[in-house]
Amino acid sequence: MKSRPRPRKGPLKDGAFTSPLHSPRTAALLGIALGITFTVCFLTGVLSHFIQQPPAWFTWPSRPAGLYRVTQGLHVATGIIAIPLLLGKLWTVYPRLWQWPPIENPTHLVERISLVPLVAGSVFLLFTGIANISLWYPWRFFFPAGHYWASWITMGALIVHVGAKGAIVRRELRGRDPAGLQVTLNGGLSRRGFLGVLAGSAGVLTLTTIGQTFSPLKGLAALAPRRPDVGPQGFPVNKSAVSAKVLGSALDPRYRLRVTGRVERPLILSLDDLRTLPRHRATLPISCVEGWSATVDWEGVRVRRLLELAGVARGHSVRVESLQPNGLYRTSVLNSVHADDPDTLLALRCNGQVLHIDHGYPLRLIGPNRPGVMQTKWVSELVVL
Amino acid sequence: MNRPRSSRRVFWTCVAFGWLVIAYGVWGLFDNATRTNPEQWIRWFMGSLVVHDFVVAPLTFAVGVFLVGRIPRHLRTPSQGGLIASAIVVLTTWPLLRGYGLRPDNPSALPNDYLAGLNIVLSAVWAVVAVVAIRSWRRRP
Repeated sequence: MKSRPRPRKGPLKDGAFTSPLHSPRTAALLGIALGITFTVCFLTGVLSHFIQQPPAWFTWPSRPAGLYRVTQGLHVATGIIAIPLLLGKLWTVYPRLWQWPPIENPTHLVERISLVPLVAGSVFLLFTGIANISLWYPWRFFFPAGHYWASWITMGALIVHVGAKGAIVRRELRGRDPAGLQVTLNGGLSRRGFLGVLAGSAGVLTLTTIGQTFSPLKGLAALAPRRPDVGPQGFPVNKSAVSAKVLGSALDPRYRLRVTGRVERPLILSLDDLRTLPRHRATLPISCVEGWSATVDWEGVRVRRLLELAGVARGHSVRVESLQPNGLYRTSVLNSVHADDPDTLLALRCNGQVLHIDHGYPLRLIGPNRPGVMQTKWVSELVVL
Repeated sequence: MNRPRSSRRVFWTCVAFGWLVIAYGVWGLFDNATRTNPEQWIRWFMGSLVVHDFVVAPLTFAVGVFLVGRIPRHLRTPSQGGLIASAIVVLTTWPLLRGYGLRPDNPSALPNDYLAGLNIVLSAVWAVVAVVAIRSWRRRP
């Protein structure tokens, strides 16, 4: 005698999810939007990673000066836009999590297993990204590394997903669908209404945050973690002198800048020596990896000029060291293009004042088209490589 | 699955390439273990899935089921839209509202009054909801 299957309950019951919004067409449209935002976010993120840890074949140019501000602003903005899209998409396809039978055939098994890194990775990337720009670190791993490797895993899973769903998306996009405007059975949102609400939410989040990098909209940046005009001398700080533990060394009258490494003449310069050197002024953005940026007037000594004094020919890269006793961002490397750029400075002043200690007094690196973490503050040494 | 023959080849190509990329990510995760702390990382990674699929999503459905019978039919569409938008904005700004990232040594971090900002944003959202609701109430048969 065949035993009767037990009745399925809860979300496993046929018709447990009544909303017609759980449709392939809704999923297809949101899927395309997410595919675009995730791809832009991934490419700009990988770019930022390569700039900071360049592989041998990669040379990041120093021009246009504001390029990094755009790519990284885009990275954070597309990540924020992806939040409503992802939540809407996961809600739309949620009934599929409970489909019965759970596995139909080997192909379906592969497809579903690949959803684990896709869903986990998507939620993980957006959550850790939002927490990071909010300066909140509830986990015990180094954010950039954890976020970066998760992005490869997520994008791999996304490739599998596109392979699995591409045909369905193409089918759903073919032809008009008159059901889009219909109000659902319970009087809830139509599909267009639902997508409109998600798009509107993305718009609201963008309008209230984008001003942290796009200053014409800074007046609207009520929900941005930074304001481009708030901070000492009129722009934000990421690492303070206190947290970098440089209060003593940066204010020490015995402070000296050293130029060492592959030089003809090593240099040891006091602040007074530096002040007597020819000054150069440049208006350059400081562009944080966390998506904010601010345009600042800088004044200081050209790195190229110091290298000339030390007898260094063009074409050398330079490691810039900070007074910071430790931390991953204690040093940064100027590739030869950046080292030789006439606007790459060791700045003594910004916005018409002597550098604030939180902006790197006595001397900070500032160059065109560089991530903020590579604009080393409290510079103590240039090591020519 | 009744997928067209042509897309079967595409599917398995994508599976092979996609899992190669995933393998690269997993390799990088363990190759950089001092920074990624894989044991912690895996907990947060899988935790993201579990919290979404078994906490956030069921709660969303529960709220929907609870509210649907309690809101007059003609107000359901606008209030549903208002609730979705509000939930998304609150969730996204949660760390700012709680001020987890505030630093005594760095007043330029999280400089805004985020509760006030959120109030303004939510007021704007619900003003739109009110306009739509009034219009749909007037148009009811």
